[in-house]
Amino acid sequence: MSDQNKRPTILDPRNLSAQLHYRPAGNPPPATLDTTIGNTCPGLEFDFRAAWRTLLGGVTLLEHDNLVIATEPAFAALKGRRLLRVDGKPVITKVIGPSTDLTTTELLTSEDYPHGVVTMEWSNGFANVLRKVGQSVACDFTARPQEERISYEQAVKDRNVQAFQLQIRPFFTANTAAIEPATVPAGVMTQGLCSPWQNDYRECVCYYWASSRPDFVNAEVTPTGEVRGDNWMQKERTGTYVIDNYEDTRMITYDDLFQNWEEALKFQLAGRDAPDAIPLPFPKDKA
Amino acid sequence: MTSQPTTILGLRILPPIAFGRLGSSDTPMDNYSVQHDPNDPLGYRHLAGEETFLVDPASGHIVRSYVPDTLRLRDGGKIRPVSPFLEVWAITATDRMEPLTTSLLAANGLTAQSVVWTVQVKNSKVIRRTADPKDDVPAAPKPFNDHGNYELRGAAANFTPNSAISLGWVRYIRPTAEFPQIRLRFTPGKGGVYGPAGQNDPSVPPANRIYAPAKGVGWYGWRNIDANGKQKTPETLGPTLYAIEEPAPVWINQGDIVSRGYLDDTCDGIVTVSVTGKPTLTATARIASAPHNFVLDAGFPRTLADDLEQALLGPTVDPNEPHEVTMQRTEEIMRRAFETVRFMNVPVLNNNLVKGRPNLADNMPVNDAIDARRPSEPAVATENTDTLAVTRLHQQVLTTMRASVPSWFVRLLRQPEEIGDLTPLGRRKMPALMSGAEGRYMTLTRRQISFFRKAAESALFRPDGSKDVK
Repeated sequence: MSDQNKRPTILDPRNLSAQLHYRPAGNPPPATLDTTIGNTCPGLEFDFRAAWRTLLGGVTLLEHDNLVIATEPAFAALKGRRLLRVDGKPVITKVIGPSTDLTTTELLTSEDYPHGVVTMEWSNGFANVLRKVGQSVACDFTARPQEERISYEQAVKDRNVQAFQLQIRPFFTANTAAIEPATVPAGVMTQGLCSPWQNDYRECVCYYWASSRPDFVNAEVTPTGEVRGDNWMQKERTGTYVIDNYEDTRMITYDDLFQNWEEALKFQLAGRDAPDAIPLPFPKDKA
Repeated sequence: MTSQPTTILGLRILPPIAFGRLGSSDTPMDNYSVQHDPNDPLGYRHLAGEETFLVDPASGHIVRSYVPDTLRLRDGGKIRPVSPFLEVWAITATDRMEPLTTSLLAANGLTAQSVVWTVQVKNSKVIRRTADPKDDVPAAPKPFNDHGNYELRGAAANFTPNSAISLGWVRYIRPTAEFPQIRLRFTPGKGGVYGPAGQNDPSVPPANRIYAPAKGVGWYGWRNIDANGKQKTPETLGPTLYAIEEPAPVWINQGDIVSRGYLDDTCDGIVTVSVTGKPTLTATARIASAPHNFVLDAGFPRTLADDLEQALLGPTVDPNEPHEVTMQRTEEIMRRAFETVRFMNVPVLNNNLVKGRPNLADNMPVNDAIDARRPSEPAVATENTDTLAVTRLHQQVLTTMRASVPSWFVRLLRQPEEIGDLTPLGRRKMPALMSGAEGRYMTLTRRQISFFRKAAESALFRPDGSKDVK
């Protein structure tokens, strides 16, 4: 985390990392990138998956899948096809797990993964080709529109692969740490987030963003070694954790959040519900 | 003594991305810092007051700077918003940039009024679902070089006449002799819910009932299924993510999914600064508004900063980075991981039996069973998921890492290609029990993983044979 206001007065314009992390005077930590969450499913501050949708020149990808949902006219034939590899690297991976009797490992297939493969997130998937901005790279697509996600190996076997050379669009404005507006216009970074955002605090549980939307608070160890505490989303603090259930009236509801989120959601400090005014420094004797 | 260059060669806005955090108080949140205790590296972080600006609401200049002795989160039940400043910096040499001030402007024959701001933000959540351009909510005040507080008035063709959503405010802070720097301040929206006009919906305040089309015509009553049972627009996730009529949530009550027609006052967009000269120079930055992160003193193992640093600098750390710096990075990631797990009821999220009964909470093992039809069982051995045991495990790992990162540790980190590995071993890799962007198990960025790899390798192969960490 950017813990201190150690602000430089001079910077090297070539030091883009320093610019990215720069914290102006007056800005508290929640204004910074360091206090955001990066597992965007779809996210809290940004649906960062959307930032990559148009990185490959000529096509628009779905935020969370390898499906081409729109194209420029020159690439119209690619609409509805699936991206399989970029610059020789697969963008999908297998879903594997134990068999029903727990004796062997097998490909897991389901309605979500009919062919046992999942698309990897773009942020890690495109990390290497970002070094090739402005260059054309080989992109392997299915040779025809493909409703269901399939593996590259399956596509090869089915003679269902066609390579195109696509240019990598600039992600950052040249020589800066600013995301390029032409590649990621206004509105794109938040368009995939919940509408309204309050809905997501009821819908998504803490395993998405526990340090922003916590789960287990006011925790204490009893003399017998048992850990007691509250669910952050329970209305009354009893010291008895209520397992989340959308129909449990002890929990904050969707409409509680729509109508009164500012009262319902409690800030946390040192693992406990924070008062509305915190004397600084905190704690008094250490900071 | 040599004089410093004063010719403005280029501009930057810093930071390149700033977040406002929603709140309906009229007073922004004061500034503070969050620091870990070197003597208690996994203890709760400490808060201290930091330089805060008081801006005059009428003139837009900074009245004074102070360090708060109290961090106020709410005023009369209203949460204080986070209203970030964006600074303009001037490049004056190939290796030098400095804050743009009125004196630097004057040295170039310019004034504060030579600085022009252009702001465009949008809330495109509804158009992303309906694909109807009338549902897009842009706000773009005319370019300005004065110091008024400009409302980001988000209007849409599908709103009732003359109605809008306030997506926040932007203000060019009036520079003074005491505070001569060129700055913009972004104040986000108040966190309101907006919805259908003419409906007596108690979750939408009367003044916010502005969405005009009748139920079933647009966003209000929206069903994302056509007559053939196909999605009209691709969902942003497997299931949908917006307020729907009861019963909700959608993945439990798989029924007719009907939108309540709600919108919010979040946004993201572009700030452009121009300085009129020969040539005119420009720079851009990005602003966005979001709910607060409600834990004041914890970090998350993977942040947008980690992703953007990877995008800027590449997926592997510089092999020449000093070992101590890399070690600090790995320790900070471990600290953030611990701070995250501390707020998770690990036995419940591991899908253990609770008091001898099946645990029906929403968690990753349940998702594995529903999404991938994996046989249902806890991800981690249940006897290891006591919250105290997990805490002690992280303490031991951090203590070990402070001596040196063992080479086997990297194998415990989940690789990006392993997100679909739902084998017992695969699910126990780190970070454990957390969802990633794909809805499967979370990974760090490749660059973060490379920190651990480098730390482990250099611990083994330091050329001078010296001890790794003091």
